[in-house]
Amino acid sequence: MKKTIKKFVGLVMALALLTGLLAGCSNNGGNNSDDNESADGVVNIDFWGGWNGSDLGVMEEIVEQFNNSQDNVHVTLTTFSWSDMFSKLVTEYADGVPCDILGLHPFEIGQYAEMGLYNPEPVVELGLDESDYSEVVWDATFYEGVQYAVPLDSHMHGIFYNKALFEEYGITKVPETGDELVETAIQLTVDANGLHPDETGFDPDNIVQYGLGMGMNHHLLFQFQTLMCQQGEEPFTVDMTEADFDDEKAEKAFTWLQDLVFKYHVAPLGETSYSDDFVNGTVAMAIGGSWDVPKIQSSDIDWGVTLYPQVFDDERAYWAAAHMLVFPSSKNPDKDKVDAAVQFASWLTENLQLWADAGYVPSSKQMESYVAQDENISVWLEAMDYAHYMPAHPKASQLFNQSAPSPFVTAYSSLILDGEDPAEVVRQFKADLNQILQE
Amino acid sequence: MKKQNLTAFLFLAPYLIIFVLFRFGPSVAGVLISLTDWNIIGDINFVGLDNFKKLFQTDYFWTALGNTAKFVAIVVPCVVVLSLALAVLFNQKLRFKGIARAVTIIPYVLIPAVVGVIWNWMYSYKSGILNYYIGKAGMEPVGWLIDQKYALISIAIVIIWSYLGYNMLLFLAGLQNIPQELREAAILDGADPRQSFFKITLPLLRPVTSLVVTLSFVNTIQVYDQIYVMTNGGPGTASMTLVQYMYTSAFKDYDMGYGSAVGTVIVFILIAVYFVTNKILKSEVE
Repeated sequence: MKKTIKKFVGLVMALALLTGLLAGCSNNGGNNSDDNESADGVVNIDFWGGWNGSDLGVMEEIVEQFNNSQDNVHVTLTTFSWSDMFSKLVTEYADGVPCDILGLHPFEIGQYAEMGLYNPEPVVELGLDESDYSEVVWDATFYEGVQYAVPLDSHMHGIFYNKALFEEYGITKVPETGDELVETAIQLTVDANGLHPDETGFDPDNIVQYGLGMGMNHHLLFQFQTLMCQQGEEPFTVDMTEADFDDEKAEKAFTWLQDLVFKYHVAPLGETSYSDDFVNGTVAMAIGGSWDVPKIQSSDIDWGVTLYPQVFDDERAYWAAAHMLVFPSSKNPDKDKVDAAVQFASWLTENLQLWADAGYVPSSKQMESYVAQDENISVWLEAMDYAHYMPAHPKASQLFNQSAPSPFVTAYSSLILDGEDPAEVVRQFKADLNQILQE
Repeated sequence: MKKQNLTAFLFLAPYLIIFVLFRFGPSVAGVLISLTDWNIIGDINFVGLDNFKKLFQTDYFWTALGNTAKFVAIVVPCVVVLSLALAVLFNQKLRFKGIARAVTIIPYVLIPAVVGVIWNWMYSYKSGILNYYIGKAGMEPVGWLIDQKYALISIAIVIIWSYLGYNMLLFLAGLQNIPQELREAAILDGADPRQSFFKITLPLLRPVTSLVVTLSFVNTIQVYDQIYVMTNGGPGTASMTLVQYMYTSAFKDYDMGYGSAVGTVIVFILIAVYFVTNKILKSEVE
């Protein structure tokens, strides 16, 4: 009897192992629309993007709206972190199964267009009207004279502020310049004894409320771009072979950022999540962007948003990014899937109300009147004429990488975590960039 | 005998097939790719040892190697000593030792990325629970993951915490396999518990110790998920290990040849470690 039971158990385990092996080796990974067309004639397409914050839920809702609006195309949205998504795109292309439509930023166009990963023909098929977009947006859809991308939205930094705390501390003016931002942040920064950073006895090691929160990550370098452009210097260009931006201007930009943490004590060192700190009330203002709006909207905070401050007076300028759509090339092109992707892209560019409600300024000028109705989001409308995108450099993934040993990571770690001399940070940053550019 | 060998082979076959297809095969392919210039999708060009020459001349490689050596030097001894100590403790007649053993193994079965996220919050400079209690004790907060001096050690603590349970079980099995008569004979000969442990128990545990050291070394060198989630190799390059550098080179810089060269170096380090630990720790016990 025991032998029979043992044999039975052994057989069951062997079958389980075999089943697991076969399931693991199967081609369908769960979020893959490998079936081109289902029995009822629906074309399944894969849509990838890097939205994984509070804007993810909004994009999911938009995709669901599209799927419910018609019967011939079904879109499956899969999201990754932005940088990992391209690693996946490259390997999936090599395997012959890339996604059918991809959301990205302008600086991610050049490198992968050079690798042959994007198909420009569907963009032509869409028949975009140039007059519907600003020059900055339109130009960003091109790389080396070929249009690869469909514009969706633009977004940039803003200063979110807590209206209740403003009222509590008697602040009636929203900061517009760098000096005003620092002054306001000082008024809003309080230690355990109720003192502000400009008062004698202030204890920087016991701050209970900070005036300003900001991401201690790649967004510091986007702020660097804003600060350089405000000094009339474009630090990065699409065809740069050397990092030759002005050292003195770079040092001023880095110093201003560093002083927020170490000199004025208005921004917390090593902040993990400025948006969580803002909605929890532990920071009174936060340097964020459109991607934070859904989370802030759903909180109890009575909030407002204003533009990133004019820190330097040479030029009005703001770092900006955009979401655009591209159509990945495939080693096994499928006309039905390409047509379905074009249909989805066309619908998406005309139905961005939800996306606008979530804080993103649609690129199409036809949506401007809709955005203008929102007292908060509309602040970004007038600033779009002064937007500066990161360039679509052919080595963008190495230059603007968010993982060590990226020049960005080393620079902002040294500057804002270790408090190193900004002049030395500039020198090292340039050296690291040039090591990549001159390879 | 032949029938027994065939039976044994059939039982081993599923694992051997998986091992060859998903471990050995790709490792050999990786070594071959390290001799090429390839960006995953373009043509593969043979370049011989150029990737290795570049590697040994690149500062980032030596930084990653140094960080990996420090990481292993912290994690492996701590894992071996602490898991042995736990095993000795749980080998006693204790109340609730079953529950205690189960609790110790929980960190090992958690998904590494989840572990990274949890510890990320615990290590937060301003709002983390660790600095909260450090502040309550009147001390300065520690920049666990934001200070270049502490980032690697902070991740090492997480890895040690994760590995303790599993290695404790290995040691526990080893302890329970030691014949009780040997200990009783030692006691009769006048040995105290300390002498009994160092002269009887520890030598008899050498095969298990060798296994724990080798596994800890191999697993520690391959840590990636927690580093990715917690620091991404930063601040700066303070926690950039060889595996993280390999991944960045291959899948961010799209230089598969160079990334594979880093991977090949890792493989040779692991092979060397295996032979060294085997030689030092394994011995016949009479």
